[in-house]
Amino acid sequence: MAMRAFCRPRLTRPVWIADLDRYLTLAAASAYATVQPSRVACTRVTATAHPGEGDDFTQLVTVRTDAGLYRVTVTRASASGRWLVFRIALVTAQ
Amino acid sequence: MTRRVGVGVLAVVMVPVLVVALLLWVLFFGAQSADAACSGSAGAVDVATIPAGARVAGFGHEQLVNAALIVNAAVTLGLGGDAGLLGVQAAIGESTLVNLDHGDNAINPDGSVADSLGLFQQQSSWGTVAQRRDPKTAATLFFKRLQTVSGWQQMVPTLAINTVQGNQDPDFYARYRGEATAVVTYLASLTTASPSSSTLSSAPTASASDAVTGSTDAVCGALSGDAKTLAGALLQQVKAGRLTILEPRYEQEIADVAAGTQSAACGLDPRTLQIIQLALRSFRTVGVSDLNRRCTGSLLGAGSQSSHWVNGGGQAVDFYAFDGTALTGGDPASMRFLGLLDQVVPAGARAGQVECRAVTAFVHLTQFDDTCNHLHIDVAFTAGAPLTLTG
Repeated sequence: MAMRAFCRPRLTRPVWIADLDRYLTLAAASAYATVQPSRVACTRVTATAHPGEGDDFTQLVTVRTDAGLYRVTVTRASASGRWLVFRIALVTAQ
Repeated sequence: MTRRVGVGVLAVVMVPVLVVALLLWVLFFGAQSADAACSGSAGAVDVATIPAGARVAGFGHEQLVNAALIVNAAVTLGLGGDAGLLGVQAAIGESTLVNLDHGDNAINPDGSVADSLGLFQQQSSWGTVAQRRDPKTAATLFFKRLQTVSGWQQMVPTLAINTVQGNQDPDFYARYRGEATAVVTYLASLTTASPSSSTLSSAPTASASDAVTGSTDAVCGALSGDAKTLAGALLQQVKAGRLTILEPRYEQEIADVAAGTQSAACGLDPRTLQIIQLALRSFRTVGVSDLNRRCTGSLLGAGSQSSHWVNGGGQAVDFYAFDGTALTGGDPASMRFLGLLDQVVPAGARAGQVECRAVTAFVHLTQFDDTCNHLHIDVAFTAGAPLTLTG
């Protein structure tokens, strides 16, 4: 899962992004390649993800972690396409 | 939301999936060009010329002096105005331009408390306490790392900054671009002429006289964030024949917002109006076919699930023509506008017509299927702050 791959601050940047990359849109893959994993606040997911608002092409999913609540924006280009993560944002710090 | 959608969404978050290989089309416009064009020129700033009562974008004298020292550090290294602007943008995000003697008590992966200091919140691995607390030295440390990043000048500003800062949210610094541009533009004005006032007022409102430049510079210049002001300006463009609203009922939505008489179901998000205003800065004439469908009761397309309907209904706009040419979403005018828009919209803003153009990876825009007889833009699933463009 994307958030489990994201919440691994002890990994080196190449290892971290290589694993996370598979869940990301192309644009997100470029963006998250700039992240220093040691600055990622969470180390584990603590509750099941919950889909929030959205439509056939964009969904906002909330994921609770040990660092707080993250909002994950997932998108797909067509109604039958694969959902990919576009953004992971900490919305409520623990 | 349907069960089908919910399960699929959870699948991407919880279960590995394969990424479809995409061809990255490098946008003709470049990611940085317009932002760079919006800022002041590079030049050392004499901090003594900053008036004691100066206030720009909410920042006072001490913060403006720190911004000047950041700009000067870039100049000393022979870097252009792009770099100074990035430095100020980064420091706003990290410290609000206050030379902090402490960090945010973040915990490092090894369990230690982060010992961040100064304008850029640099940890001890960056340098001594004295180095990190000295604004010019701290900025120099930032710029020296930036210089090692290949192609940083062509990167989206927040990503260029994040190659150095490594924030867990790579889009974190984007929200500070408008403030940084205002500060750097003010400082640049000190190097060329004495300011007429020690206070730079908030951004002037957009007006019917906004120039049509047809270049990336079109996104420069202040743009109001107030829906009523924006709607009033758009009505003037309608009267001038530059903006055509295909259906009178959608023109009425703009008129009602301009008059402040819109009902609860007939509002228009300021960002929607800003996007139309940006189109008018880029093209001589602009045609709009759809706005708030909740207001009109229109169930076209996705009906009540449409981004023209959800969240009150005013967060989407359909353009049908630029400069008198019908749009497909993949035509040159659409592509040009999407390239401009991608630089200023929040991450997660959306463009329709993905199947109507060559595979294109935008930085902030996501894309989805839609009919190839217009250009759909919406901000339905993004944070609500108006776009910040300052000249």
